[in-house]
Amino acid sequence: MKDPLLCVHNLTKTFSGCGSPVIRDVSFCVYPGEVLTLVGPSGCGKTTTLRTIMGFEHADRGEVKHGDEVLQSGVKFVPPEQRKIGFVFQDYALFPHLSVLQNVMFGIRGVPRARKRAIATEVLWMIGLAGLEDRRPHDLSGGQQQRVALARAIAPGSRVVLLDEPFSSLDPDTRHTIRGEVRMLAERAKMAVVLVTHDQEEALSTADRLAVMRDGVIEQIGPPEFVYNHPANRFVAQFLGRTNLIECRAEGGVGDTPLGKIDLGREVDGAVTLSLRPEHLELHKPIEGRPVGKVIAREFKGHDMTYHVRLGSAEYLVQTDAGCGFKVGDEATLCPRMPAAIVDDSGAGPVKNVRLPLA
Amino acid sequence: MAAPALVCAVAVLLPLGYLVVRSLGADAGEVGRVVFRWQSVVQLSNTLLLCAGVVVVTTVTALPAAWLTSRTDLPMKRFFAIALVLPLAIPGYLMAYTLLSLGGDYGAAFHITGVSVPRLGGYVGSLVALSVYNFPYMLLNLRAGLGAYDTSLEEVARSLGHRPGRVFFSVVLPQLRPAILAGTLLVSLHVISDFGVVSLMRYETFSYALYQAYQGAYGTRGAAPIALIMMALAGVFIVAELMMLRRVVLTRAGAGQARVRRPLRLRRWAWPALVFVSVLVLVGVVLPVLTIVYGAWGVEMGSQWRSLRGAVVDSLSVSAPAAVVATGLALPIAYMARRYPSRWSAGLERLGFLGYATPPLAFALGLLVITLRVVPGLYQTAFVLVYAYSLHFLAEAVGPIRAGLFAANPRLEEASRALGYGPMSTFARVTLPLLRPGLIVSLSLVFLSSMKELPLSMLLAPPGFETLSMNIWQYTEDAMYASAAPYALVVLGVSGLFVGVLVFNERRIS
Repeated sequence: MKDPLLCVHNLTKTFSGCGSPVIRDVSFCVYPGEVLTLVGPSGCGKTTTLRTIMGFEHADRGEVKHGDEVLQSGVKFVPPEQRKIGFVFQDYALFPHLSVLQNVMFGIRGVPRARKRAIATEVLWMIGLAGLEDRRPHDLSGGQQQRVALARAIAPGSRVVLLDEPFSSLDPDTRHTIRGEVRMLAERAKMAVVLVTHDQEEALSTADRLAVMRDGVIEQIGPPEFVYNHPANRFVAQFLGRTNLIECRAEGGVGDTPLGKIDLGREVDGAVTLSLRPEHLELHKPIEGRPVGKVIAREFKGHDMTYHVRLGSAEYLVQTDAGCGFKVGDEATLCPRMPAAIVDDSGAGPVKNVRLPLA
Repeated sequence: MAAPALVCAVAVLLPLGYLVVRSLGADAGEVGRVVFRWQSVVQLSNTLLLCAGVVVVTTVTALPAAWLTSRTDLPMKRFFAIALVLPLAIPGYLMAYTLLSLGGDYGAAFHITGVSVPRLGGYVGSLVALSVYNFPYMLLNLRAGLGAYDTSLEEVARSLGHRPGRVFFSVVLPQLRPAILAGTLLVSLHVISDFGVVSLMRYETFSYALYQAYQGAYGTRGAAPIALIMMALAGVFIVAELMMLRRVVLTRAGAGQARVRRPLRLRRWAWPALVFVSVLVLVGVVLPVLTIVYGAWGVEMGSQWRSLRGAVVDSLSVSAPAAVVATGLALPIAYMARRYPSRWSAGLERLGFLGYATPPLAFALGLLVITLRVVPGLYQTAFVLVYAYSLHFLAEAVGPIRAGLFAANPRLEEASRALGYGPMSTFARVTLPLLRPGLIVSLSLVFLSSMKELPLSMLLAPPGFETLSMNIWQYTEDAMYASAAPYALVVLGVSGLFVGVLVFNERRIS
């Protein structure tokens, strides 16, 4: 595997006046061409992580490495201006007294002015802003401002770019386009991108890898599909989308749930909590010998449909395609389409035959 | 980072403290005799009477004026909104000059119309002149109050069955109380500090008495005790203001933005309203401007030209450095208060305002005494005058820079750091360019204020050094109104520019 471009190890930061750390032992590496997304509810420490990597905040302890260069360790602290890392702010922070071109040229240093101009023009062209060089930031639309901020961050040739909630103030269409552009840019220029967002959908669709944070700690890190389908705990399961949490007993890798027996994908015995995504369940006409529930509500959402089904004392969510014919009041059997994910096995017996996450 | 504000506070307090220590230490008995005598009681009651009178007159005129120009469909509302602030451009001593040169048997009014109007003087003259000058301060406070408050409360009162007239007293007025109090304190401080008006009108308040004592046989020793009383009185007002300011939280409680309100239709009251505001503009702006222009018109300039030029040069030579020094001091103070907001830094920023609140004559006297005793080399030099100007007008420099710092948000500085520039070059390349408009406004405000300053100049000007305002004062004092007119015209122009910059700056920010 290639060498990582950015490595963060055991990063911990406490703000003066607050007792507990805002981020605690945060560790990850980002590789060339990769987009790592930090996602979590507001106040979970994701922005602080980013600002600490940049050097805007001093970490209490931990290490930050850019390639082979140590930016931060026990005694060493490289000031932000020497870190050669690009940073895109949530509010873009474009210099209002400079034109678009001057903004992009601002960080290009150590070359003649004509060369600076040429580099900046090229970056602007690459990012689709050719022709806007002489505009002032406040004459641009939100999407254009976002692109200028991005261009300014990468123009000095930084191979590591940090983006702090960069799309939060854009309309959905623009957001979608720019997201794609960021990914393409990362791949093409072999940059390592760390992107912070509180929007789980954005996180899932943008990331090559996803790190879910809560209370200053990374709860799980891995490819989005894996983290979505195999959440490590209840929080990750619920934060990344709707899910059915089921407490049950497991025996020999099979859970005995109110829905019937469900494959758990690994050997486990004892009390466990399962997560079953609504789209991993199917609705069937009542099947002999299997528990039968009752449809109590349905939400039509255009491209699909969500059913609320009461079974016993609990209520389950099932996502089907929009053409599903069940109506409120109908009886139905719920069938899982794939193994459930175990989100809590603290009540289970000794772990056997653990399947390692692919991350 | 706290250093600059502390330095400024110390620079103001040191001479004052020295004055207190010296005069108390030297001869406490004599101080006691000067302070506790019948004359002091007269001076105190005169000062307080004048304060009360000016506060009442300005409130009674500014409240309807503020309401008419902000909440009704008054004809030419935008014009009056600005015109009513223009008396700011007439320093008190110019208004006093106007009133004195206008009235009497040989006054300008008699020359023009053939009708002699009484010459105002004493309490009434001081009251009118100071009310005209302070009217805009009260008006601006009230207008800010009227603008900030929430009209839906008014609508709630209407919906609960109160008639508009009662709503004004039951809802509007209580909400305006902080604005009225703030205006009252500001106006009172101005009245206590005023020297030009009361001296020309010969109304014995503390500042006039202080000047007379200083000119008298005992010099600084005679004046010092009066300065102590003045400081104590101003201190009471400053402390009161600080306590009031802490409670001024006027924001709407609860979610949602207050809606844009519909102006009240005046209908048949439009004419009386128009007459009312017109009279205010006439008295506060048109009358003094016409009187001064008329006075300057008839002057034979030949002999006076050189002396006028000398006064302009003298004024310039201290005002320009004062503007630079004050802006230089204001920059770190404003920067710190904005970037490291805390109770502490807000308090420090307010310390920077101390020079403005201190009665200038007391401050000047302190400076005189301390230079005489401690650094005689600086005694009666232009340096001391620059020192006094810059600290006195520091507050005017802090405001615009603060506003400019709101534009230069800290993210921009971080962006520059991320792009490879260290703290110093970031300041030079990002912060300073963004602050430039604010800095220019600060420079102009302090410069123009210094150009028309009177009391500090009266006590601190080096021998042979005569500013524009000192000339006006002297000629008016000697009843040589025609000779004062050209100087008055120049000061009027300077003041006009000052208000122009102020209004322009308000526009720019909003």
